[in-house]
Amino acid sequence: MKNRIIIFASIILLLTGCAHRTASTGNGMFPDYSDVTIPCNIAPLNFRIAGAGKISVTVKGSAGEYKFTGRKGLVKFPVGKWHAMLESEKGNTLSVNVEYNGKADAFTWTVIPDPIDKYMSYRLIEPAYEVWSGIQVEQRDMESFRTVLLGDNRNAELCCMNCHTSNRNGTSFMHLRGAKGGTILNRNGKLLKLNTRTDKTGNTVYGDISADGRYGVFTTADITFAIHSRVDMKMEVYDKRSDLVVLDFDNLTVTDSPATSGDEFQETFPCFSADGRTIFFCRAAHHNQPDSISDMHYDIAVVEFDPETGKMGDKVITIVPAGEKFSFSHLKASPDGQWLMVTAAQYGTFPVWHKESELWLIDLQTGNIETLPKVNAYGADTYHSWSSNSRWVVFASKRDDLVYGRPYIAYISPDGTAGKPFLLPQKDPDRYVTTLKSFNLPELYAIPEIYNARETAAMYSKVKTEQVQYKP
Amino acid sequence: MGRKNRVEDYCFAAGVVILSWIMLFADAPYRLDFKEQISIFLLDADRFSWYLSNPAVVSSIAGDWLTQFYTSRFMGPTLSVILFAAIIIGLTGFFRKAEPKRPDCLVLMTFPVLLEGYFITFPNYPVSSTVGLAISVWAAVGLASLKDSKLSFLIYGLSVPVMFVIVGAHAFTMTLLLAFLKRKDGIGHMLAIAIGVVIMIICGRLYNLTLLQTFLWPVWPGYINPHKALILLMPWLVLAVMILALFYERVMDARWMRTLYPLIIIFGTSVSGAFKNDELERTVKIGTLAYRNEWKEVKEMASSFKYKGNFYKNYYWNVCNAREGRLADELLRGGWGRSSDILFLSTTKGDPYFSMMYFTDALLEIGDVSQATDCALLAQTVMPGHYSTRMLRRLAEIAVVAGDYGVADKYLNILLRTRNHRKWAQELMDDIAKDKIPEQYLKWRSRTASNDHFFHQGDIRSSLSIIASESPYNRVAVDYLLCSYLLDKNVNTFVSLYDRYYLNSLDRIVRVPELYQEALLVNVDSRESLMETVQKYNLSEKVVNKFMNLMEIRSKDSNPHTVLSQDAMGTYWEYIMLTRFNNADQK
Repeated sequence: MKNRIIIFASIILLLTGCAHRTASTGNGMFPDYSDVTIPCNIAPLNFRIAGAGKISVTVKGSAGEYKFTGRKGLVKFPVGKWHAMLESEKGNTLSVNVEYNGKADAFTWTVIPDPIDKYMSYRLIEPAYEVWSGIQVEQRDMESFRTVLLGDNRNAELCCMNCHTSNRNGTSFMHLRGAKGGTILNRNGKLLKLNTRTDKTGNTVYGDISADGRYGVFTTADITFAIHSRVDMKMEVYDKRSDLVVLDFDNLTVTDSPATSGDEFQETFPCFSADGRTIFFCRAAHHNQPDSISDMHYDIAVVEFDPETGKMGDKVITIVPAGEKFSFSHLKASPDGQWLMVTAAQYGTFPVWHKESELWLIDLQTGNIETLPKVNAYGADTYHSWSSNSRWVVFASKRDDLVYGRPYIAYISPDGTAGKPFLLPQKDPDRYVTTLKSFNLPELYAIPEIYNARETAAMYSKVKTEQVQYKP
Repeated sequence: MGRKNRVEDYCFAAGVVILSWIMLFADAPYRLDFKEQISIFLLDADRFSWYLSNPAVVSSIAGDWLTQFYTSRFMGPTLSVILFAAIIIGLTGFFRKAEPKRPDCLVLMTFPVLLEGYFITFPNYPVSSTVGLAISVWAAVGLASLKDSKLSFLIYGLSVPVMFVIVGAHAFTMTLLLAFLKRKDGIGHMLAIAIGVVIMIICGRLYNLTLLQTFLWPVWPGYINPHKALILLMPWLVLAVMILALFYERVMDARWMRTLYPLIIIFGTSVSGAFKNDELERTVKIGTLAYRNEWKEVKEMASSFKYKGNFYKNYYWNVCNAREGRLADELLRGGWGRSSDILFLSTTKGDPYFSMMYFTDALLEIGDVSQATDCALLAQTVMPGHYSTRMLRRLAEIAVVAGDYGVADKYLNILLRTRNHRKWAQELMDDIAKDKIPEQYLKWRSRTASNDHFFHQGDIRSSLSIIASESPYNRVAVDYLLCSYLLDKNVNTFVSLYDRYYLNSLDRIVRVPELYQEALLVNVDSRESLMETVQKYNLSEKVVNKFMNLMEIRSKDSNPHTVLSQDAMGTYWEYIMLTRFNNADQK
């Protein structure tokens, strides 16, 4: 894998070529669903038009013409009729004509035959991240509007609930902090609560699961935050120190490597390659923070991983140097092994509050980097997740109001061309307007979770924590 | 019971309702008003799904809707006593159904209302809980009307989960009333309670609530300490009242009972008086007046506040003076103590959300928009319900000050959907559209930092240093910084900062406050250094004379309590000599 991902020096030139674009909401249509590329199994794209009364929607495709109506400015497509339409029009581009108040808008929907994963999880949290009062982790059915609560910190002593990381081959995890917390690990339906901190390694934070579900690679970081004095910049979250560890879920052991530990460098946001033999991660030389945080430029680096022994290699290779203008985070390799999607910001390791941060796509075969101008918008595009068929990504974007993250979905074609992203549809899109919660850390996955918030609460308060053992 | 007694009974109940209205009107208007500031009524998709995802759907929606009207001094008490009257009449009606042969007993039925009247004076106590009590009582009246006992028992079983969805914890009140109704059916009443409790616990689990939350909802347990035990007792008080009512006729026929009536009223009044939390009312009032930009009243209130150690009074005294450019001049006429108790409010996790809400007033005056944003978001996050119209307005204002109009739009769009804030939001939206930003916001904007530095949350002194160093003519920030060191008796740092910000700079354009002049003399220990200091800082004759007078007395007497002459009272010298920080807010 290492040899296949040689990135040419020319990409550094490409790095400077990105440009921002501002999100458009069309002619008062919210969400902006004009000219978007959608999966064949997505829930109805209900939308609202400000100031409109009765709305008439005519969709013309190769297989037929479909008529829908809306009232009081809101179009709610019947779920059954919507899915029948998408099923008949797989692979086609639909012409959509919207009439309201004597006006007409026309745009297209391109229906991709590749479906998106049926489930998405996200965390609902107020954007004041340093205090959490009501955090929920929700699982959303992408084909309808059904949701299941996976975690709710109201019944877990208001503990912080971290990302739910999607299940791969029946393995998923969610960190619960607090006095009785631990990492909730789901392995083929069996739930465990793990204490991943050992005498030699710290608590696990950001992580990824190998394709076979046996291993997890994590950052162990001491995370803190500071506030910017400039009014247009909000908060800066940073790691005082960070290293990488690998957890063996079969044997409940944790191991590290001198190559990815120590004080000289800070390593974070690891992910496995599709074949599980390489770990991609972000690495920056340590500087005093927060004062020198603008000097923290995280490169993209790799280290070999041996699935037989569960050990990381001892040599780190930087494959994409960040230079002095960028810093990378949130690495996610596509399941087909073709792509590595990353978040690029100006500096630091927490791009959620960096309005300039955007998604880039690295071709792991050629080393080319796509800066995805069609996908990115001003206002922080971060934390993405691949669909298991590698054709769709979901990411959290603050493009609409610069404070509250919302899940946007974008198509990535086999040649790396991206479609215009669209906002996760809701039964009533006004949910996005009035909610004071961010849809944080969205994750796509194909197999539904086997637990819900009650079981999470029981895991928090009643189940004994199992200690992970350090394996040198 | 005789007709005369019945009239007296009705008069008593009416008296309780009227008395409640008067007490709420006179003693708790701002606490009732505050309920609107820390809640919101929206029936959009997100809010409605929030209502549906919790118990007490109907009482929460109705309660939040009613809360909108609590901003009116007349409507808050009026709506409250209408709910109280509904509870009294409902309880009376229920007793009539349960014991048709016994007389009414309105006196006893007022007891739960007296307690509910106490609860409602707490800003955190939601109106929806009172609505829930009223609904549950009337639901019990309806169920008591059922004739077929087998059918009614089935309906009782079903009604508990339904009522839990409708009113939340007060479903248990209904359960106890039904147990009272069924008390003669052998183990029926015990069974009713047991079924009710089990069903409520199961329902609570389905809603992911803890046991405590199940029996308190829609009251948020973390916000009503230490009164949650009393709130949990309410259903039992209702049951106790019913049981007492069984003996009421016998008691009321006794001659001594009629002489006891006035005593009950006096007792009730004094209990209500004991419930009167004047300091809380004033704390809420001073913050509300600031919210309404009635700064003259805020200052008057801060100067006459009778609870001397109250943080908020000291804080607002200084905010008012900072607004007038007189922070240093008036500093020692407010509270004495550490700057963290006098100038600033603590806003870390675990502090009251009052502090976070109120502190945004000073932060915006200073120009510390970053910290103000953080405080406003935190306040909203840590308050019950996590939705506050007051903080939404503040967040919109902050966004306008920061020039983030997209962010402002988010909050204004929410406020546009509310009854009380629609007009304000629309006007601000129009101003933004016409690029006519209100003067006040532009003034705050001009005080903000333009270069980027970092500071930790709640580290107000670091952010003040950054803002002051960037805009040395931001006198509010400079004065807050200097005064904070003076209050903490750190004179050396004060002098170095004075040299940086005032000497040959601000002192050329504003009159130097006497407080600063006095502080500059603190380290003088000889006639030479006095002359040098006077010359360097161009100190006024009046201050120098006072200082020399003090020095002369001190050379004869070293006792700090006796050396202070009349003209040295209230000076920084008195402060530095007499203030002890272990009793920080006392002179």
